[in-house]
Amino acid sequence: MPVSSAPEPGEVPDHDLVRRSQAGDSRAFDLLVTRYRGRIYAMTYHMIQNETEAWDLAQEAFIKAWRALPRFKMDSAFYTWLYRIAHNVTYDWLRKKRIQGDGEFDDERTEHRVAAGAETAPRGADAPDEALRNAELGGRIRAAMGQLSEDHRQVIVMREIEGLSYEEIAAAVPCSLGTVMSRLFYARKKLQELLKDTYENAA
Amino acid sequence: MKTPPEDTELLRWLDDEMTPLERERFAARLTVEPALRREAESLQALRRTLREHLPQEMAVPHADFFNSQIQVRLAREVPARRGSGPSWLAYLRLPRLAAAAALVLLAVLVLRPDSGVDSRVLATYTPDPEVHATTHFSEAAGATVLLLDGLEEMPAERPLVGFRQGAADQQLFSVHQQNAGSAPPATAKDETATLTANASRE
Repeated sequence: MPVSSAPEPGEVPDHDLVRRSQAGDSRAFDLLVTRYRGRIYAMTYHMIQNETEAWDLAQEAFIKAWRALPRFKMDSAFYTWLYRIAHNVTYDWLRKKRIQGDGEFDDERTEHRVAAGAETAPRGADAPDEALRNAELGGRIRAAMGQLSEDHRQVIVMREIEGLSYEEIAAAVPCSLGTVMSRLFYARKKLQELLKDTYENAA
Repeated sequence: MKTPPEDTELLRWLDDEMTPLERERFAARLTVEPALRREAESLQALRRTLREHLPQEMAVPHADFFNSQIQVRLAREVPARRGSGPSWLAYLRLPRLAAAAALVLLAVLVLRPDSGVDSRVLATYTPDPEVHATTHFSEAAGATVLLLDGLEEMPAERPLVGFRQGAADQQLFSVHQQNAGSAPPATAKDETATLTANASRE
């Protein structure tokens, strides 16, 4: 499972903040939220492809984590535990959406609407044409991700973005190792088909 | 859907799921199978592209609002969490406190002024040598006061007042902190608890 990056020198370690949060210190929990909101939001955003809903789901994940904190025994890294909660929250949401028949791909969903005041992912100072090319490519990749089924998108996010092993993905989904490999295989085939011209031209 | 067997190896190679020996063998295949090498390169390029454009961390829009909204919701949850927490009776699971409570009950039963028995506390005993018990009769309260010093730590905000037995207003005992009126400490540790045996009846 994804592990938390080591706190910067001078930062309070996760386990201290977790202990304080478990004792009811919501300020300590606020520091944990600040530390991990970017990663949790990225995960929900990549899965949902909608800024507003990803924002809500990331919040929901933190609220659920707060509620579950008394039961967290610190037998794994806090981020690993938090990621699992966020994954379940997101997947439950997708499942409900599917049941409601609202799971069809919608082009508008992949349009990256950046809210006023929101920063984009930190990058070097790109030249304007390079920045434009990157933005276009980013849009195409998000659109391609949106065309994957939820199951396929999920394994791509877990493997390519979070760097989870097959075993970790199988445990999180949950499914067999064979299913993980099969989903990864077909998800990549689909992405290759949709994006081949993009990355081959860029190479 | 099953992964075609010939692609399973490519997948495991790409995802670094092979043993060193398997990896070595696959690398040898790549040198002699141009089609396989092209596919491997294409998948590696796809991975690079995805990682470049799908960041592991993203700036959260209106990040301060994100945090403050969570805090608002947590503030609503805190009373519920307290309310759904263990009752004060749960503290009786602590051996020392249970023993002390038993002692208090005994004292109350023995010292009830309306019991018709002119009782006095001749001696006190606590099973834990770290807990010291002393008693005195309070004229003002019309009750014998039992002081237990050195009890287990318990949250200061946990109220023990209000334990009633029988009639609704028959208060059996209550716990006060001696520095009542000052700001409550984080825990009641090292505070001397005063258990007041009040046997008054309607």
